[in-house]
Amino acid sequence: MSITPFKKRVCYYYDSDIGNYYYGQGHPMKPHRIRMTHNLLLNYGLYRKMEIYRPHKATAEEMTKFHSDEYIRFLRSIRPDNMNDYNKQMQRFNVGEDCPVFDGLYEFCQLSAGGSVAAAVKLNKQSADICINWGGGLHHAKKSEASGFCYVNDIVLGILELLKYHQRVLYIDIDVHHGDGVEEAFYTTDRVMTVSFHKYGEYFPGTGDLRDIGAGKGKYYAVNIPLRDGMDDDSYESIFVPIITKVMETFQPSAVVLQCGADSLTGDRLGCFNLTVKGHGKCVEFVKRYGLPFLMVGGGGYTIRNVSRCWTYETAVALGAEIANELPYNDYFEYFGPDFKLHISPSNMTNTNATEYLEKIKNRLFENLRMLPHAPGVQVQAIPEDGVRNESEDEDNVNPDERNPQSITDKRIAPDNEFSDSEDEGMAPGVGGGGRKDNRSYKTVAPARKQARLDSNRMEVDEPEFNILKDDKEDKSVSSDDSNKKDAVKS
Amino acid sequence: MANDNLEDLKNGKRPATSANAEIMDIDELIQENAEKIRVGRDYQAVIPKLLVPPKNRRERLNRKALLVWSPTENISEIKLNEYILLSKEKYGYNSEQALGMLYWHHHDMEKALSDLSNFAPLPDDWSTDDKVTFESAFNSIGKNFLRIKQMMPDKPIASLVKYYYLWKNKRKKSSVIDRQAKKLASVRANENQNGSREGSSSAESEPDDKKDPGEGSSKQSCSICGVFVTTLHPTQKGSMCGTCHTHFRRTNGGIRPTLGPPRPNNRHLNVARNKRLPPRGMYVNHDDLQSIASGSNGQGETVLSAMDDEVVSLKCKIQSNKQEIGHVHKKLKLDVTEFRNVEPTPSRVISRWSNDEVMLAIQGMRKYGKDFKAIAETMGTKTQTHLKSFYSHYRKRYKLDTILQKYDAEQNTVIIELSDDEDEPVIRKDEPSSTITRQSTPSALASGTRLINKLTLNPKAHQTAAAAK
Ligand SMILES: [Zn+2]
Repeated sequence: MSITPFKKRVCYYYDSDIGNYYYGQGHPMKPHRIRMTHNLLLNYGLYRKMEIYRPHKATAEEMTKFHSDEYIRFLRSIRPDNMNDYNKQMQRFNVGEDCPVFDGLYEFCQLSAGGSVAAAVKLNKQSADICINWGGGLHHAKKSEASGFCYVNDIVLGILELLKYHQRVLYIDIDVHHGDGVEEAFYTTDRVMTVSFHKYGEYFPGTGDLRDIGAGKGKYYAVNIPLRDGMDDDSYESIFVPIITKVMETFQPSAVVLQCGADSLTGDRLGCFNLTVKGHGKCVEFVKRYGLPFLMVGGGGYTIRNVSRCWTYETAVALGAEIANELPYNDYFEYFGPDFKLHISPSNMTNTNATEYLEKIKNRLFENLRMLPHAPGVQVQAIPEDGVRNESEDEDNVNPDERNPQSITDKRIAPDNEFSDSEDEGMAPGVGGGGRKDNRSYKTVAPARKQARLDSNRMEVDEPEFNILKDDKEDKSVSSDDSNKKDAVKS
Repeated sequence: MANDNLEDLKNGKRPATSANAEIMDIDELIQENAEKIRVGRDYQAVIPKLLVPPKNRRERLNRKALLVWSPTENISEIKLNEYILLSKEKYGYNSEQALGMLYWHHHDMEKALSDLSNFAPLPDDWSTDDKVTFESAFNSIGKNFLRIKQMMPDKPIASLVKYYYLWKNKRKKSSVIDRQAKKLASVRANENQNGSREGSSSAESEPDDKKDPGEGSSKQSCSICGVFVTTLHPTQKGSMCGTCHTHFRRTNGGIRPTLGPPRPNNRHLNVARNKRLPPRGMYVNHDDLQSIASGSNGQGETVLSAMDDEVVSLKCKIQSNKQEIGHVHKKLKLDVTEFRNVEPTPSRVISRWSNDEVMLAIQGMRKYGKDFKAIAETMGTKTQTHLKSFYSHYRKRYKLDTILQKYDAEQNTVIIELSDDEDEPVIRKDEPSSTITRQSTPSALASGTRLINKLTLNPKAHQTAAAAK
């Protein structure tokens, strides 16, 4: 089997049970939207272009990598028929109102988290370019507390998995609500930068002030973009693009997680922005261009016909596939009336974000980003889609996990430039086009990647692994001497 | 991703201080007492150490998730579609199951095909009784699945939820039909008064196939039941469709009784009867009705579900044709632009207006409203600017505003839409029809639009839909 050049290898995580969980009468969160998305992309013929995985159910052990043992134990034991015995704990863990106890609650969390963790593992193996888990993205969940319809924070679990093999992971959140759970989890570390674009001011969850920038070692590693009602496609792009560009440049992540909460779309039942599916999808497109290992998760989204439109479109964006504006017939076709189209129009609501206001926010955030230990002269930029090239690979079509795991990503991503500059030109236009002059420690897989690229496009699986070990030791010895905060590997 | 708006879900725990909606300065935006991120062992994640990539990758990965499909380039899209269609029609697989089978056989199409018959996809475990119970429970209890489950103890909640969402979809379908029926009833009332139905159906979205039997259609109508078909069977009693012809042969020359509207030529004589008929465009096949009514148990259901399947496959076809049209349309648009750039037309454009041009411009506005670009394209001898000044100069003289008003009236109809959630009707202004794209480039679109009409107005679909109700 061969992969078409320029196309990304996309893995998609979905469990057919997920649509059957029901938060309760009148509750705006409807897991059914994930099944609607699934059915739509199946009928668009996108399904057959991806590797489709049924995620495992995350174990309590996996979930306690972030959450407290007590909290997970509580989630595991609570049921609608025994909740009266748990009154005290329900209060303590904030379960009951926004986050009700419903039938199958724990399993739902297991599937959502299982998808994101499996996706992160897959990216770590470098056997996929992009992984998608629309059942994930539950960004409000805290270490020992449910919040905003979220119980288990699959994103934090996914990022923790990525951190095993990535020195720096970037988290971007385009849900209309502040990504407080993820921000809090990584508030004091410099290995994860969280960037959240959200409505701020008299709005759930109340956090996400422009001045909240992280604490301790993590100072300047939390970026908050507080916005007002009525953000439209153009305004959103005008702030998203420059900020992400600058973040990529200064933070230089080796993996990205994007929370694609669809409650920032126009006409959302709970949201107050005015984005169209196209405008929302542009963020995905932009981040994708960096060619970094990329995890896409779902999130909010309460007008479910638009949520499934949006996530279907973004799946197509991830694949680089063009899809028709006319929806294909599907199991839930009548939900999409009266127009039965993929794309939606913005409403005529006022955009209360003035250009000058957005400009000010941007400049304030740029000032903060300048405080980061910066790699001088290193230019990182998004590259046009067709500039991404990679060779087709012969692959084992039986078990994709046994494919040569590195070769594909390697040819696109050259995050470091220890070897030479000219090497990269025209070949790996991804991240890090210039010479890297500082010697902060870089993620340990980097030398291996480099090696792979130098190795005339083909490589054997065993050989680079040998190199990884060797290079890694060297790399570590460099970093341990380095006083730069970037080399922090917590012990 | 939570909400502040819904009273019942309000989480008073995290109040945010007041903020002015018109704040322009970020310093004003900064709120004292705002909710803060908490710092401490109880809140942050423990960051893992950076590891060396493991040697034994394979072993670890396989435990995490089950691969059920992987893409292949060895099978063409067309072949894949054929395979999916076959496994659906012959063995009842959905496309996910079909692809699963193919993947199981390592993308070996032949092996997969021969294995299809060895498995039977799980049949729908909802009997008619179940469905009736669910519906009545739902109507009395509402969306409380815990309580519905008490009435249907053998169904897990997951199954109830799953059925609910599909049922809701179907229920909407019927409400669409009801809506259409109402609309048509009022049209028909007007018709009776005016004796003419000109223009009345131009804005209707779907089932209306009868208006001009000859127009743009290669199909002919059956002289007995009026259904449009491609093949007619000529008899001494007129040309008949397949069903009528079968009846004719079986009954030695009998005319098949139908519940559909009478033949087009004597339709106006039957105004009174029309009122008891299903909406226009829907026909009930008498034979099918009879077999439903008199058949042994289950036979009726079989007929109905076969019809449902047919409706679905026709709808699939309609949507994929629409996609095809959209694609062609897009291409055409591109081509037009290209063409326009290559061949500028100034030589043909003279600012003086001939009588013919005046007529053309007025007719153009009738068709495209104020889309001067489209009109200019149609005329070919005047530019957009010419037309704009034509409009401002001759507005009064030719009563152009009346024409425009008429055009607008035709373009905008109010469509009632059910919101996806609380089933409150939402009035929404929309394009004239859900199926027809607004015409913007004249020549290219005109043909495309007609094509759409032909597709959506497939009489057979409505016939079966009606029978299924
Ligand atoms: Zn949200």
